[in-house]
Amino acid sequence: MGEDLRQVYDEVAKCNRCGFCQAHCPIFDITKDERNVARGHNAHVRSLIEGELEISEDFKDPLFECLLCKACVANCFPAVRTERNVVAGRAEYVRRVGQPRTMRFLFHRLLPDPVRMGRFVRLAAVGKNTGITRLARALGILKWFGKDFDRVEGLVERLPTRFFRERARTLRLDGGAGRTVAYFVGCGFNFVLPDVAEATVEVLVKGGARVRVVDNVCCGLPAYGYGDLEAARALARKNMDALEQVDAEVILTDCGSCSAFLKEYPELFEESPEERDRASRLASRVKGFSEYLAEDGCPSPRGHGFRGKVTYHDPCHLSRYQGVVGQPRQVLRGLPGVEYVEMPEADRCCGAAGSYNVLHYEQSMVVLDRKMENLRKTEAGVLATECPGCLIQLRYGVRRASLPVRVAHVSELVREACS
Amino acid sequence: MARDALVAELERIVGRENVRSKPVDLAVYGYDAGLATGRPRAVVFVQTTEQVAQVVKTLYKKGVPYLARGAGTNLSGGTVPPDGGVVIETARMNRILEIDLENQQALVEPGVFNLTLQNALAPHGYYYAPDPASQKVSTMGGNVGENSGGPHCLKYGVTSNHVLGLEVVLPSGEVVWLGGRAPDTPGPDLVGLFVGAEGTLGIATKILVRIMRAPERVVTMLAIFESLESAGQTVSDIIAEGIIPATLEIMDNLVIRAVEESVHAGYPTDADAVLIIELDGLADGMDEQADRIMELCEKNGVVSARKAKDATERAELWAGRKGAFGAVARLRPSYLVCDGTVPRTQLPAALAAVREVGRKYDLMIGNVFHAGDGNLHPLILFDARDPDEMARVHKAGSEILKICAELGGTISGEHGIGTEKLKEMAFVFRRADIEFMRAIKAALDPKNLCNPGKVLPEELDAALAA
Ligand SMILES: Cc1cc2nc3c(=O)[nH]c(=O)nc-3n(C[C@H](O)[C@H](O)[C@H](O)COP(=O)(O)OP(=O)(O)OC[C@H]3O[C@@H](n4cnc5c(N)ncnc54)[C@H](O)[C@@H]3O)c2cc1C
Ligand code: SF4
Ligand code: SF4
Repeated sequence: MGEDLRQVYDEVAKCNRCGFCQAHCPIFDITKDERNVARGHNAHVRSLIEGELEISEDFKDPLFECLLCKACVANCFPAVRTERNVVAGRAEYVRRVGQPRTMRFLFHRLLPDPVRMGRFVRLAAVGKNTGITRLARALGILKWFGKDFDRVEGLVERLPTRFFRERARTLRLDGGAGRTVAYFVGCGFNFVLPDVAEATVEVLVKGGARVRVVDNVCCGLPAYGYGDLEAARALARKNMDALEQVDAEVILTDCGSCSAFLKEYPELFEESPEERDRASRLASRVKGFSEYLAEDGCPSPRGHGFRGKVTYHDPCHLSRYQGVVGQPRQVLRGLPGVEYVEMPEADRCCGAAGSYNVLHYEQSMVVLDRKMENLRKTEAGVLATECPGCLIQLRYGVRRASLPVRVAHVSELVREACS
Repeated sequence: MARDALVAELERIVGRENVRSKPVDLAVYGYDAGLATGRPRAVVFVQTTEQVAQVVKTLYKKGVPYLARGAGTNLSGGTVPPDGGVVIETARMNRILEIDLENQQALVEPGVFNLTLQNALAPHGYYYAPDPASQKVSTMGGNVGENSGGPHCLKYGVTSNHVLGLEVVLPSGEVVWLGGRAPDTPGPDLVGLFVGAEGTLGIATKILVRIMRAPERVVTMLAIFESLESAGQTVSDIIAEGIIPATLEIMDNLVIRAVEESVHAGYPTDADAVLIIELDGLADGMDEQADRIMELCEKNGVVSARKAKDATERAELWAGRKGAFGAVARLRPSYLVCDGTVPRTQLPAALAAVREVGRKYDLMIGNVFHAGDGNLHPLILFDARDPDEMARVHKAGSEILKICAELGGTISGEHGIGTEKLKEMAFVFRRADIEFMRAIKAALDPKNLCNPGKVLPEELDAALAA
């Protein structure tokens, strides 16, 4: 996607205003407000392109109250890429109206530098420095830290004392004669849920893979989703450099958002053929966790681990962005003692959506409550998923609703079954 | 500053958070699923009858035009606001108030989606018969406004056949009940007058509908023909046999190809017509009817025919039809649905004429229609950003409706007149007819504020001369 809003003109013009998206948008479902539905988003972007409206502060709410969950796209006959049009609108907003300094700081200073980011995370978690906590509050993705942030308190149960990258130094990474796998470390798993990353690596190694931990930075999705394309591209370039350093057949990440965005890198560089080709070469090797296991086979399970009903929540970024739907279910069904049950509306967004649950807490909670209601119906003891944002949001939901359900990444369940 | 005063007054009635007046907010309330656009002065989200009544009273006093809006999926400009008008949005007025199985009635607020009601009834073994293809998003209020129909209306009739009573806020702001729970209310059929008036006679705030027991059995069949004529002949033969299926739907080649591309319903892309037949009712005798229909298909040279074995297969057969409008919409960015109706026996003539119109104006036209009741839906495809093409589309649309009228049919099966077919009213009504409708409108809405400019052509002479 480029710097000119007119590039999405054909895409917004494809919307024929049938209004059918009203039946599928989790936000419209709550607000019943045309501003929040795909038809409204497309009309807004169109009115900006055609010069009927001028971009201004007034566009902030309509543009940013979208989960980018693609439920509208999946159910739209002409398959209008509304999520893309919304991001294009946000990009225009960021260019012309501006973005808060805090966001700029996050996207341009923190995310490109994991060491600085790590320091910041520790400070924010401790919550002493008010400047930083204020920053944390402004930064959606820092919902993970919760501390001093009354409303989202509870989104993080326990912050790790050591990040995954620190732990990785002492982990066994060489599984033998199998494939070489480049492990792309997502921020969520590095900083907040390192146990998941550890489980993933352990499973890969058990399966015989030689794991290379990539020296990557944030994939860039938070910046992209916010409309800061410049920052997203800068992060993507760093990652392309890092990934090209590793000679591996597969680029694997257990974060559904990272895998989705890595696969979309070519679109990010649409305007520069050379970089686009580079991005395409990498993108074709990217695999999510279950996507990889379903192809490459699980290490042989020993029958330990959870026995009973397990269900699965589809992260938007796996199901609708990548079409990864069957693989996680297949992996779960293959675990001994697991009775897989399907959850109603399993692919409905849980309301985490990047920073959405901090910036739009109330609406996000309504979306989450519906998810919990569906979860209750399954009577499952474990809810599995494959994205850190979803994991944190769903754990919060389970606690809020007092459900006796463990929320786990698929890789954690596989590890337990194989140990 | 009169504008601010009005907004402030509306805010007092419904609360600040339920009134919108910034340009950015108004920009998304100026369109519906049709082609016309406008720009309202304010949007008001209402939640109770009292709020609607107060809002209407206020607007009446100030002489400000307004309209009721449900989901804005009508195809004829019905919810395109007159400039400076107020949109009264009923989407948040969406409770199902009562389901009375013993008396086979349900009472709903206008913002309830048609499908939401169906889903609430299904566990009880009941359903509401009108099933517009837009049922998952169109509201009961909108269905009443447009007198909507659907594939199953061949056997069960349209919305007006299923509405028993209405609570209505009149243009004066008074609240009245039309019809009611008793099977027949004395006096003229005022519910009938209101249903299909496209919100020009008042705003429905409660809707009492008839609900029916789900049929004991449903049989769905899909037959593929080499020509539209033989599909059409099969439809005539079935009905001549005395069989009334719940549904008789035909799609032509252009639609078949588009559907195949998007839904992969398994239709052969070289077929000229797909006919969907659905029987419902008592299980007894249904197999014999289905066999007889198969014979009639054979007689007309069917290429292949299938009968759904279970609910999943049934859904598969329907997937193509339900996705038809949208699938065709994929081919070009915009479409115009001409919702003309002709007597069933005139269908072949009408289809041939439509094809001719397409050639004449060099436009892509697809047909997907309720063959059982002669309701054509030629879909003209185009790109609204091309002014030359737009002009041809409007001419072609009008010409198709004229053809329907001349073949003894009418200009709207179910999508209404709105602003988009005003001119064409003259194809089917005489001056006296329209004057009579105007007199009714004027009696109820003397200031002409309630969805003005819809249904009745203001420039009658010009329309009649056209
Ligand atoms: C893809 C597609 C397929 C469709 N298929 C069908 C079909 O098969 N059959 C069919 O009949 N239609 C069909 N339609 C048209 C449309 O969905 C129907 O006309 C529907 O009833 C409109 O409902 P709505 O809630 O969107 O109403 P709106 O568009 O919001 O309003 C429609 C009209 O009703 C009036 N109105 C709304 N609420 C009230 C109220 N409370 N009281 C009084 N008047 C009110 C409005 O003023 C307006 O004139 C289709 C549309 C699309 C886009
Ligand atoms: S986004 Fe798709 S579903 Fe929504 S109005 Fe546009 S065309 Fe219809
Ligand atoms: S992406 Fe999701 S939240 Fe955004 S408009 Fe589409 S359905 Fe709604």
